[in-house]
Amino acid sequence: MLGTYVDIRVDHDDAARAAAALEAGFAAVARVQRCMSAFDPESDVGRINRLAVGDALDIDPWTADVLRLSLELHRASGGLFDCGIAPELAAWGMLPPAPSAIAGSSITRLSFAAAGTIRVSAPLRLDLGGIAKGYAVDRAADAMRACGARGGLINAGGDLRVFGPEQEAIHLRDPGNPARLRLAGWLGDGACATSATYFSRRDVGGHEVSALVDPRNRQPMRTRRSYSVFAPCCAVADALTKVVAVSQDAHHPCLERYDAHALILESCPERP
Amino acid sequence: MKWTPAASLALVPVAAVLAPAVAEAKIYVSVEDTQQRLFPGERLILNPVALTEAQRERMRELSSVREPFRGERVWKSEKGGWFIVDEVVGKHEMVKYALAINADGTIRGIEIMEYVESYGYEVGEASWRAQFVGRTAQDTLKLNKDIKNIAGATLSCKHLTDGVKRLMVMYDMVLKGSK
Repeated sequence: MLGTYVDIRVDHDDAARAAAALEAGFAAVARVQRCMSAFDPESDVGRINRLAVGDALDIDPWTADVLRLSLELHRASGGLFDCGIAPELAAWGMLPPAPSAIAGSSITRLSFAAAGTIRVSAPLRLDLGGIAKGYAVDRAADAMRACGARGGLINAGGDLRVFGPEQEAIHLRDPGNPARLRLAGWLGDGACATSATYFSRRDVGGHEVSALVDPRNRQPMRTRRSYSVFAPCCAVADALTKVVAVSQDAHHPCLERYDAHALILESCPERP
Repeated sequence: MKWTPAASLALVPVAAVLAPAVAEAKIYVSVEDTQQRLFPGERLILNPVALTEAQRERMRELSSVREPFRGERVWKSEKGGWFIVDEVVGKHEMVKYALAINADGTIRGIEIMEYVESYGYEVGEASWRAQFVGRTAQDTLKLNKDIKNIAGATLSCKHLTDGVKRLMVMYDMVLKGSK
């Protein structure tokens, strides 16, 4: 799901209802995938990417949520977070090829005509890969709580959310060797997300590319660091990892506004 | 949100991470991180203890733990609590753990610091460890009676419970009266 493994753990007083809570968690993730996958032409994102200028499009309330948050984060970060970088990802083979070239694709081309209706001011290619995974984790937590779960943990490929009375030890991959982990600390009732290039970087035409894109120059980041953000909700944590990565600033002013903390890990040489 | 950063970014071998119930469980946490976890913000002062043979015998008798206790891994907190690092055999391998005792003699918490066995990692689960909180040296701390067993992790549960018991016996004999 969501191009990664989704792992859900639930803490419930009743075993039968615990299973229902797990199911509700996975169902929430599946709904986000249905609405926001850039690989599915029938998803909201697929339809937005084909939307003609001037036409209005009705979208799922969850997609609307993510788009509103994406616009807000774009403004709050001074443009460092932008979900409009799909043309670059497509050119590097990380998204399906686009039927036509689009220059300067940016989330700023999108606006709301009504609560669940959007328009675009110019052709737009959207990829919500930098925020939807975190959002899915948040919705799964809500769904599980609604089923009476006392606590739980949802982890979608490193975008994770903890809720309930227990704190969880958070381990981060060493960016120099992702098979090694470092204990970062303990998290209770909050979220953590990490961005790095160790799993996405590849060679295209002799140049290294990655799924981390600097929206200012639209170039892939070749960093060897990893960027983790801890925030009350995972959608925000997920998006802010891009702000921290692009700005290379673990104290970017945007973090405080969302009650978030960042951790940049250096790629350390091997040590025993 | 409650975020408690670790004192150092200690290296942890990949394994049970984020999914502690898997088979190949391995965990290493430093003394500093464990202290911070059990006594957040408090300063701990190393306070080694030397035990007489009679005291050791008493600990063996009441806990049935045979491994020698190392008295140099004892710390006192500024508010009068105690932090003790100890090891017991899990199933085949040693399990390193820490016990925290409040100034009033109740157990504050236990943490697993090193666990390299392939099975039985469930003793690391917070709900199992929470059963010890609030107990005192006067509690018998018997598995299946005071402390619930975990199916599939019986030996680790048994030996850790015995380990905690022997540290509480030691606390009662030695630390409680010390100033």
